[in-house]
Amino acid sequence: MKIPILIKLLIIMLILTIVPLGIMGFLALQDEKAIGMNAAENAQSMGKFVISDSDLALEELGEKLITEKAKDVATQLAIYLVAHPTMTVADLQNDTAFQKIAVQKLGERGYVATIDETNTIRFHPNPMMINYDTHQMAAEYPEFWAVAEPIIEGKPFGGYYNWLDSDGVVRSKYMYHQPVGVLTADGVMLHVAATTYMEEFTQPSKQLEEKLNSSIQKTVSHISIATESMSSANTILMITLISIIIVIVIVIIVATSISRPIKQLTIIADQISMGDLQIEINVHTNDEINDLAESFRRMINAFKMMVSMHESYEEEKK
Amino acid sequence: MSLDTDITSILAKTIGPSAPIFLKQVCMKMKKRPSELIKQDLDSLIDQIYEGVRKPLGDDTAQKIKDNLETLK
Repeated sequence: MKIPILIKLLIIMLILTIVPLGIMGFLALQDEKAIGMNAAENAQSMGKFVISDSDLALEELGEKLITEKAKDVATQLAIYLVAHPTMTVADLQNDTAFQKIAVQKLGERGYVATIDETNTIRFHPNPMMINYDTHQMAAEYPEFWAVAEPIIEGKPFGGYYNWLDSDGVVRSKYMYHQPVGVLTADGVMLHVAATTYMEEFTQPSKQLEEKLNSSIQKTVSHISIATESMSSANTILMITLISIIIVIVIVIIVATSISRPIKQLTIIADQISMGDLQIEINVHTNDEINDLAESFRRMINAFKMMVSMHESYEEEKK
Repeated sequence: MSLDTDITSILAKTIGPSAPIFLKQVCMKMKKRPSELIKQDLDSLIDQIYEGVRKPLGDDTAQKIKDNLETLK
């Protein structure tokens, strides 16, 4: 069976191109999905690690700020009491200047209150809470009470507790209480209690975590969508089709450049065999086919010479 | 290289491997063998070849061969 050069080249080139392309495409698709997912997982775990560290650092910072605030207010109150040694708790509760020191805002939603050694609130931002005995909260808020109770011992103490807010959400708070160190005129040792929500300090890292999670989620879904659409073979098919078209075009150009002069020389050889020595060879290439065409030219010239010599010989014979 | 070899290689560029046969034919007219050719024979040989080539291959080709052979002088 005769197979043209064009078809032979086409088959070889297509096999050489499409098979490796298909294998590489398949492997690349698998690798891409795995690498993408791996990168997303790594980013997520790294992000969580960083956020967890940030959380701890921010909590420590929050604890320090609350502690320092309590100590600072206690010092201010001590100075005030030293300067006003005749004032009883009742006098102090009517003293605006003292109230301004004993009740302060802490952060956005936190506050500083002043409690006596029997755990009765003496100064509080909420007037309803003034002279409120916190023992009443012991049963309802055991965690709070665990932090508030040591006031009785007269030592500084700090700790976390969960607080049920009016919106029904339980939030973590930190409280630190510090004894003022100076007795009032009626012999009461006041304690400064500073408390606030820890989320005020950890909020930036929570926001960062949300942003990170949302970003990773987007990346993961993007990878999934991209790889799923690729796995539906659209991209590979497209690349393969484009490659096939390019290969076919190149093969046609190359094969034609080889086969056309060969066909011309075949026609010329046939004409020579029919005795036509006047034929012109218009084959000009930069390869071995040009050498073949040159050989044909020389062959034709040699034939012409032989014919001429033969005619001369015949004439001489006459 | 001998003179006949040089002449043959010039002719071979135009008529290929049959160049020695053609040279032999021309030499026969001069009553010589190709190996016996000397420089003094060149003028006559060139004319003979020119005449022999001109008719079958045309003036241009004949002139080209002649010019190439002239370089052997």
